[in-house]
Amino acid sequence: MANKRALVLSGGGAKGAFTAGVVKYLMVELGLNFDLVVGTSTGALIAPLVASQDIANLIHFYENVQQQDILTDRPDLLAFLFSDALNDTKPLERLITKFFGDRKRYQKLLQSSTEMFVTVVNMQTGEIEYGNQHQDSKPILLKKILASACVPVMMPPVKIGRYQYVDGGVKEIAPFGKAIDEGATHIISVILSPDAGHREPVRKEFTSSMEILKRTLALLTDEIVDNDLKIAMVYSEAIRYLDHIKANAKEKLGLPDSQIRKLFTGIENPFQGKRVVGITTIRPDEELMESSLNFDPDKMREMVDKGYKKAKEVVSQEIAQGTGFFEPV
Amino acid sequence: MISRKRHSPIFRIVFLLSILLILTACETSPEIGPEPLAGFFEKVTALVTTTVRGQLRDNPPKQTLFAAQLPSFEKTATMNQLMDELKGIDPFKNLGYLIEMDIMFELQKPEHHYERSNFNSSEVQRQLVSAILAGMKKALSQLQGGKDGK
Repeated sequence: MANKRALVLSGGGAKGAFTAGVVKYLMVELGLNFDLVVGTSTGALIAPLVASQDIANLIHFYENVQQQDILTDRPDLLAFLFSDALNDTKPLERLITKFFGDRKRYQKLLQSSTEMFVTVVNMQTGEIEYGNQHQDSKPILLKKILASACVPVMMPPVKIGRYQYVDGGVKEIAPFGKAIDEGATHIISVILSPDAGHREPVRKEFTSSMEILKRTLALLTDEIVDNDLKIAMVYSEAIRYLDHIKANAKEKLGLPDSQIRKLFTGIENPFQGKRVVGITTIRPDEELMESSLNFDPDKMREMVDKGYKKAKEVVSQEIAQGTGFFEPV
Repeated sequence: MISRKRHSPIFRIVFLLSILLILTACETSPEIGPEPLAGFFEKVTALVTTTVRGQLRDNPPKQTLFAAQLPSFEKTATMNQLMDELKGIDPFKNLGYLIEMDIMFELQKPEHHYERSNFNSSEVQRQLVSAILAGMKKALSQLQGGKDGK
């Protein structure tokens, strides 16, 4: 089986600018190509541009987009009483059509050798579903890209057929699962929050229900992303462990392959046909910003540069460690 | 005596509906947003801007040196001349290679067939140098918080 390199892009709103910097380093400077890209939320807006290798537009998008280009405020009381969300996402919908719906750009996405998936959650079934350039029609895929970015309550669900869809990050912020299921052997993941050891406590009292809701969502987001990464790591370790046992049984006990296979028959093997997955994680050392809806151009440019620098640092470390995932530049 | 005028229920409903309609209308703002970049040269400018900015960030002496060299960069007519100028200055040697990578990344794409086929023509070279210089200036402006950096 050939090696398959995947890029897993997590959610994080405006912090997606960090991902843009990471991607620029990986694809333009390092010359990496991906067999697969899976994105959630802001990662779903990035994924089509990665698949069509349009890095200039990716950077241009994150360095120039402003909050009013994404959503418009609805007066809170009216929104609570009469609608399905606190904000309106019509501007984002138009932006998606402009950036991805254009005939030439969409054709490029269809012709790309990079398989692209965006994650959404079906509100009725509660299941994660995916949007893909080859499995979905253009209107459906564009709707799924929008839905993937729609944080429930903050943004309205997107109706596709008889179902309503929201941000895939409700269940999986860093969509490792899909990359593993698609046979990835090396996953480069971009996570937009620091690891638990580098998270700063918030030194203020939350007084309004909106502040409490936002803080709760942030805590839930951290928890989900930690679990996404943990599950992927454990999964990979488990396969590596099984491979070691098989190798030991052959070398140290002198068992033939047929006997080793017998050891595993009669029990359900959840790792059947799966291979060890190498995981490279690129994430900031500290919180990039307090609100993921702060689209300040200076801050966005700073995040692009931070992402580029961090990606370079992580890749250099992996080259020095001899992981074999990256060729020396 | 103060006369109190009583409004009919229909008038009240119409009045409330009008208020709601006005509020709804206020919610929609004119959509502007960034326009996607289409051409080779504007994409080169975008990539070069990020590259130059990333290399000069948090290094004011390097920014000053770069700004001082801009007039000599502007005198070049081809990409090779510009890159030779840049790589000739020790602190910017690596930056020169990175800018070349940006250009090659964009140039190899099928949609830039014209620029690739006519790469050595004076027309393409002139526009390319101009696109690189635009990226350099934009990066400096963004780092210095200028209005042109937008």
